[in-house]
Amino acid sequence: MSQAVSFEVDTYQNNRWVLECVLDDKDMALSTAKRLYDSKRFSAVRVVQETYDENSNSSRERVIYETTVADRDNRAAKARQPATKVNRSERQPLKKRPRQKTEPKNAKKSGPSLWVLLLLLTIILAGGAGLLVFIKSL
Amino acid sequence: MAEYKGIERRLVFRLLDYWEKKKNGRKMPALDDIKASELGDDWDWCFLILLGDEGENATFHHVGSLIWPTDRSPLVGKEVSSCAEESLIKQATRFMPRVLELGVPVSIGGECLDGGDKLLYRSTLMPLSSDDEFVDALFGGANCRKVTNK
Repeated sequence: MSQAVSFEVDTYQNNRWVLECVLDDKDMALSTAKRLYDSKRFSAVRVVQETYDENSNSSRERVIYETTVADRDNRAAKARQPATKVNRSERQPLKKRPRQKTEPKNAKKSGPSLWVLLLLLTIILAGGAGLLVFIKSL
Repeated sequence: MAEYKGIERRLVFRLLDYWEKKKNGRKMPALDDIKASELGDDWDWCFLILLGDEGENATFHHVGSLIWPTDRSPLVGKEVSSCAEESLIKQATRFMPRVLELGVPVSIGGECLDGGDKLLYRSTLMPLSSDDEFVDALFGGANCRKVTNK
């Protein structure tokens, strides 16, 4: 049976569990949780062990460590209740920035084209030359 | 099972602490917040990846000399997917999708081959964002120890 075990470190913020990091080493996860708790920035931390079974494509979770003042009471209350699913911590997948749209290289520009302008110039010059000839002949 | 405690774990802890400190109230730090001068000797065990926009391939921005020796062809500017299969950097980057899926740092360890040597390694990958909305880079670290056959 092929299993993958990972350890999620959660912190308790704004009345919900927030995922902080994931490690594949239990001792490291426990150390990280304790360091976060010792920073005094969070009222509670916990470590959730997730065991993923590749054969059945399912995962099991269990809290292996948590630290709050109410922990003792919570554990006693849980022991009296049937086992319930671990409340998953909040996690949001990250997104890459959408690709920026660039203008096509051969974008058509508005206004008279170069050829039209050259034609006009030729007509003006020819007209001017003709007028000069006419004036000379007078 | 061979143990790889000690220095390997401390590096990951230092890098995680650094990433946490650089968040400054945001979801994650920006690429510009990661400074070699602040990481000291750890910089040689670190790497930075630019993810680009959607549809673009990730490329290396920095690879520490202790992860990828300088006598090999440089990886900076090269796609992450093109690095050698049997290398520490390959193992240290293979769980990129997991980091993007979870949105938090991930650390893994294991064994790998690099340059013909069998290594025990520990690595970590942490997301970076310039606008705290879209992830545009990854900050990673990895160190290792050769496995000696007794």
